[in-house]
Amino acid sequence: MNTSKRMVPFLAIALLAALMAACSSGSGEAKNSAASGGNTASATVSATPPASEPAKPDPAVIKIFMSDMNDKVPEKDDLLLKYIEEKTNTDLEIEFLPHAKYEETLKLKFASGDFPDVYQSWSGPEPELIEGGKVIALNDLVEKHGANLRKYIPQATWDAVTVQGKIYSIPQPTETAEGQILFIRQDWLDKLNLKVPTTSDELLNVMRAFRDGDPNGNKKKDEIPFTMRENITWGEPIFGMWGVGSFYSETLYNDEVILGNVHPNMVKGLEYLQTMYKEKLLDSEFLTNNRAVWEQKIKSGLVGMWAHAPNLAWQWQQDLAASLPDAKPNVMAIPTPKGTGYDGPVGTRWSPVGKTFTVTSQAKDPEAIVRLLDWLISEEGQVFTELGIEGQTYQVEGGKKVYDNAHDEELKWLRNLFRIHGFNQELSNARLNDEQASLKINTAFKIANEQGFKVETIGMPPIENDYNMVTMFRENAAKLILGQASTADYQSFVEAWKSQGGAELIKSRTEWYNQNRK
Amino acid sequence: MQTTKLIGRRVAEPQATTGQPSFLRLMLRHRALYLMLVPGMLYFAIFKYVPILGSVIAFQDFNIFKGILRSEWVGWKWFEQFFHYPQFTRLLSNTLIISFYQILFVFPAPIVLALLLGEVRNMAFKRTVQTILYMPHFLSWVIIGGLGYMLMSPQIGLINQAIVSLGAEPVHFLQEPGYFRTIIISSSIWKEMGWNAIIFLAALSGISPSLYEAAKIDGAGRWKQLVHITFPGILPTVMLLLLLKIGHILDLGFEQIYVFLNPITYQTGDVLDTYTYREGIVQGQYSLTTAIGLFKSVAGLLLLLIANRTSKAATGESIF
Repeated sequence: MNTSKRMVPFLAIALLAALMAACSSGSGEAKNSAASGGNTASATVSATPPASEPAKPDPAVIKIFMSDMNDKVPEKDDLLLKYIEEKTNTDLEIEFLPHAKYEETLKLKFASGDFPDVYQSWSGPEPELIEGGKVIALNDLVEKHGANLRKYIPQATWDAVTVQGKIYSIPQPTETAEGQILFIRQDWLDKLNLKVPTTSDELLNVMRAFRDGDPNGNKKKDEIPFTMRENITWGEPIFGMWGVGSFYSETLYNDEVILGNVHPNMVKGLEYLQTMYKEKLLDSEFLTNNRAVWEQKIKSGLVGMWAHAPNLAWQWQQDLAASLPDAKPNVMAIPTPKGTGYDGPVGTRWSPVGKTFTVTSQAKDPEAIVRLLDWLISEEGQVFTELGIEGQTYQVEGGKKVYDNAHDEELKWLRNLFRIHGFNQELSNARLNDEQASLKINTAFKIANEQGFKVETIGMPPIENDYNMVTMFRENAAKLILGQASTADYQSFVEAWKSQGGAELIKSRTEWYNQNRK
Repeated sequence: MQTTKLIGRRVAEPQATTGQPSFLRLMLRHRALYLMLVPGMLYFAIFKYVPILGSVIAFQDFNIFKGILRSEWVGWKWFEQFFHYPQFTRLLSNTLIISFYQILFVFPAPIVLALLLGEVRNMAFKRTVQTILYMPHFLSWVIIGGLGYMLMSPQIGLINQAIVSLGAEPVHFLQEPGYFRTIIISSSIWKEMGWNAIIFLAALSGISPSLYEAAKIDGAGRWKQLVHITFPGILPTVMLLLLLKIGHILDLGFEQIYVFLNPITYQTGDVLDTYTYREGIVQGQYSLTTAIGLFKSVAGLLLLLIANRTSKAATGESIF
């Protein structure tokens, strides 16, 4: 009795300690059972020395870190997943990490020495990983086992993951070169008898007509000819009329690699926005619109033009048709008009890389990984990752693939996670299964692939210290647009930024470019 | 019965061997109490003291893969970079000005409210008012930001609709640097006044009613009672909270400023916390922003020490 009473506090402490230990180890552990299986599996394999190479019929165990893309992920015994494993003779041990914190979680895992065989990301590996020998160059493997990879991935995409001639990741080409294009209410244009604007001056006139002509027909002057979002975002095509971009789009100017923000043409875009603001062509709330408010304005039929991702062309059409059934809205993607006095390429920056897969030095069978990815991008793999399995999710009738959209939900994860090809028009049409949708998407994609400009530093290590550019640009741009500052003030901001370290940034980026890309 | 005997035995034992109880013996004697302290101490050690060690990355060029042990040491580089930015003085003065306004306007608001409520005799009315006033405390700043937009937007805002119907031009409250601090201060008062008044109401109820009775007999009116009884009665609480507030003068509460801030109001509203978020979390400049955080903590500590000294000398109240 006495002893047991004395024990109570000690027990309580012990329990507490045990609890804490359990919690701390629990958080570091894998989130799903598949991954913990992977740990043990790879541990047993590494225990046996490389001499006992797995015989041909034995599937290669591949441990993968992947984002869950904010959606449902497949079970370990999912039929579609099994299909991939069967086709490529692999045993996939996938650990899904939450999308919202993916890069962060990945960094933490690496920092604590937890490496998979291959991990998914959206860019090539960080320079620290290359320097530390944590990732391997894939040139030879792609040469030997990646016939389809070489065939279907364009050079611009390879460039983005190549450092000094070494390929460190298998990149997925993006469906479109540009990530942002202009959308216009074609029905407003038709109603006011206007043509699609092709120059910045024509664009001004179209917006003025939108402002005055009551295209939404509610007898109120409430139209917003052009809207964008907080922090000067989602308005890139305006700067794109003079071939520059505002967010980390570095281009070559006078033999120097500079940020679009300090490019002389940036001022033209800002002055144009100033004119728009003065004439009430720009949403007066462009500085505070968050995504929800911005979307609400467009969906309630107040907005004539906006910029967004090309692959949402059909989504916008559907959304507007649903929210404005009487207006018969027609959302069209249009090419970026040419800026006055400018004769170079127009549009927004090219971003040629979607997902990437990087093989780490932990991988025991890198060849199997390259073969897996090569199959996914092969003709067979492309059909599979868009439409699923023949006879189950799609049928072939008279040489044409017929797909039923009812399967969209069950194929969603497959497309999100394992589709590594770019735009395939035939499959896209089959997948959309709607002529209208195909038309919208194909128009948007055609535009987004034909215009835009190259970012010279794609694949270069990211800028670590921007010397306060983000804050200074947003503020000075906002002041100029609202007419609270002059062009001269903007120039002095550029000079101030250069003198507080920006000049060194330009210098080091240019040196890297000259060494690695020229 | 058994327990008392037990304690008696334990106490008797050490006294028998030596005459004076040392600290160690004292601990042994009250070991149950000390053990109960352990979880609290552990909490502070693990969550408050160990992270302080992480501040060393302010003096490093921190690289997440190399970690703290292998990152390069760069001395005062980040502090120098930050202090030399033209934005530095603006960030500091914005932070101080908004903090000063908070102490001047937001801090006394609940005291006034508590004093007013203390005078209300109808309990049902008092309770209702109190409940309504502390409700906003449970709303997050994001929601209040949304409400602010719905009130002040020039396109759909309630206030602007009133202005327009009177025949004037709509006002861009949220895109006007001059209004920013007013919006922050008034939303702060609205959100936290009722909740913070609870502490002062508790302090009020702790004042002995006999003091008021004695004062009434001596002929003191309501005002004299307030000045000579109520106010001295709650002064210790007021000073305690004020001193704690001064220690946090450089942390303004990130969310509130963040939801109302946009590039054009940076000039009056960009504070150390919002800047740290933009440059540190979004841009991944861990070392620079840790340096800013460290600067904030040291400055906060100094201010707290000075305020505590001053208060001790002036009013006799202090927190240590």
